[in-house]
Amino acid sequence: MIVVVSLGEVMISIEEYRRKYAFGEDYGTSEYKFGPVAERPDIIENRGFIIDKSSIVYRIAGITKNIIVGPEVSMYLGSREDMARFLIYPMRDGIVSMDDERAWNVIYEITKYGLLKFKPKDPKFKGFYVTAALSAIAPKYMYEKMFDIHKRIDEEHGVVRAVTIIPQPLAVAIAQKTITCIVVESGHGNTQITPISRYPIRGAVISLNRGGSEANAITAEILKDTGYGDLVHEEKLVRMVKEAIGLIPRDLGEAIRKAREDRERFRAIFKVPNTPTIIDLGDNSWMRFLIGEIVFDPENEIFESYYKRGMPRPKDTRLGDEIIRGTINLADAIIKSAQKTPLELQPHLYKRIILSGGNFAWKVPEEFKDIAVDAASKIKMLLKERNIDAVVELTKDPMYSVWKGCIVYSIAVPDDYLWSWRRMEGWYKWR
Amino acid sequence: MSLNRVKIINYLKEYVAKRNLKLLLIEEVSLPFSLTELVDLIVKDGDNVIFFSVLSQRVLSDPQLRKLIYLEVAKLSKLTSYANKVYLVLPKEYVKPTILDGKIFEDVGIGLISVGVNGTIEEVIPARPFERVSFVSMSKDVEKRISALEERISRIEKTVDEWREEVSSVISSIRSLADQLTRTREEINSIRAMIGSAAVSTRTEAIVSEAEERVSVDVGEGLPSFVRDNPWLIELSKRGKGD
Repeated sequence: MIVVVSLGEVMISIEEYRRKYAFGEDYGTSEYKFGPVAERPDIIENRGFIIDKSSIVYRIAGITKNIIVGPEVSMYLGSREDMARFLIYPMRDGIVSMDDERAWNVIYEITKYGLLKFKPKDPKFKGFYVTAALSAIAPKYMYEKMFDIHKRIDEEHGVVRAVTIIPQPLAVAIAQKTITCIVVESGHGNTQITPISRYPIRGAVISLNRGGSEANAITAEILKDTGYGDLVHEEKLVRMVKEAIGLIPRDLGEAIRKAREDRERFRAIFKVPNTPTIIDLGDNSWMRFLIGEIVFDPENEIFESYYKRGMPRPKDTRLGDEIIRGTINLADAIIKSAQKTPLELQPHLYKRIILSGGNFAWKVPEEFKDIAVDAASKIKMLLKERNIDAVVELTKDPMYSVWKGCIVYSIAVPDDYLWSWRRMEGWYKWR
Repeated sequence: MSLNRVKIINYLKEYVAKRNLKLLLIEEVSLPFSLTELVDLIVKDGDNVIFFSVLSQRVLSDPQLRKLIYLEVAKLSKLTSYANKVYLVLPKEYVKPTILDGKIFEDVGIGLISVGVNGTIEEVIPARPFERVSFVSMSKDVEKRISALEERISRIEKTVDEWREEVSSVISSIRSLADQLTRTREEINSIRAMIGSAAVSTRTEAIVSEAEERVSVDVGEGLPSFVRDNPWLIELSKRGKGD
């Protein structure tokens, strides 16, 4: 059955087969989201447990697999030493090293797990149309390896009819139903700015070497300065403190002034769950605004003293021939990226700036709405200071938007549009 | 260098000899056959009979060792009716808080002795004295029957363990089936909805407002909300057609 959709004179048809067997894969640094057409994907952690062949478990339990992935992994976790040795997280900031064989084996197992989980019994099934999403800065070898992995799984299990790879920001734009936009994706260690106009404009992609980890680092420094230095070794705790007390200031100078005047109102207190420990920044509670500010403007001179004391300064990055400072104001970075696109396109790009990723998920407590803002408002204000009127929004569904974009891509791209390394688009096929 | 079982037993023997204690053979004490494998050394101190059981494993992680030692203490508790004192003997490297919980030893009454690589022996937790049941008057027949019963119990325990593992694997299969069932149900519902909408209209329409770059594409109820009204459906379907 073919469903016909008319658009004025444009007609598109969606094959029944594609509706049924479109498949999306989002390779995030910490999670792998996958599945056929549905409202939501399945999720497993992007990690694998390498079985130690000399272990008692291996010998006694008669395990035949070398790598365990999916929910089963938690059953194999033993001591911290075991976890460090045998638990492999294959991606770092969305990238897998070319020669990291163990990491690629984990990616193979995870991909196989996802595809086989949904393998139907339908005799008409000839394999999924798979769209996989990778980081916008994923190098070419990752594309090649991913194609090889899908081909190998198909040869073994007959589950992949065609595969394609798209950058995650493009998938976000598709899920947001926006054809012309700038997607700013910020994760733990990396922020990518990708202008999109029907295609990702690859020459204008800026990847900054910073993300949520900078906010974690300043939180750790603040904890040290306020007498809680013994707690900063627990990364998870530092992250919890960041999420609990960190605020994005509308204007940093103004926020610090107000917080110093009215110390009780802005007092930052955090009780560590399930422990008697209470963190109280007391008179230094104004520092809570530094945690949010550093995400957007790590170049502010207030952070200089922290860099001098050893807090890592984000590394510089390259855009074509130009070196971009790692500490560049996020609004300046967005402008630099947009400036690499044709002049007449730029106003259209500013009409829709989409923020995605965990580093933009900042809460604004009701009582601080006069002084704190969310990430979208902050970027809008920073752009306004630079005479740019922009419409900035957070993704509606940050968890699943990349996977959703993959599904739409799998459904819509014509079967005969084959992969081209020049365009970096199309279906990669081998049968 | 780690200690193996033989070395530990030899060090223990030296220790016992220095204190002029008498070593006993397994046949010299009343002990059901099924429990004999738990005892590595038997010593007589005056009227008291003391059992030593040695545990030395290849390198394991701390949580694994901890579990193993718990099991061993549980097994040794069966010996308390046959000896006045029972000790578990471990290499000294196992004696650390991440592996051992002294309270369990105290609760059960089993003592703990550590043996260093150089043969130093230390009583870490003293054993609680037990009243030994006198089996002298017990007839050989009764002894045989008890021994048979104990063997039977240990077989039953083994079977229960096997069943426990089976049941937990069945539970996880049921969970996965339930997940699949939910998905299948959702799929059936969406197919039903699709059939319904196809009957009403075989041709669906899309409206474009170019000014807003928004497209309304009605493709029926069969596809999720993020696919419906998505302008990328049209954009992507044009790929490779003259661009």
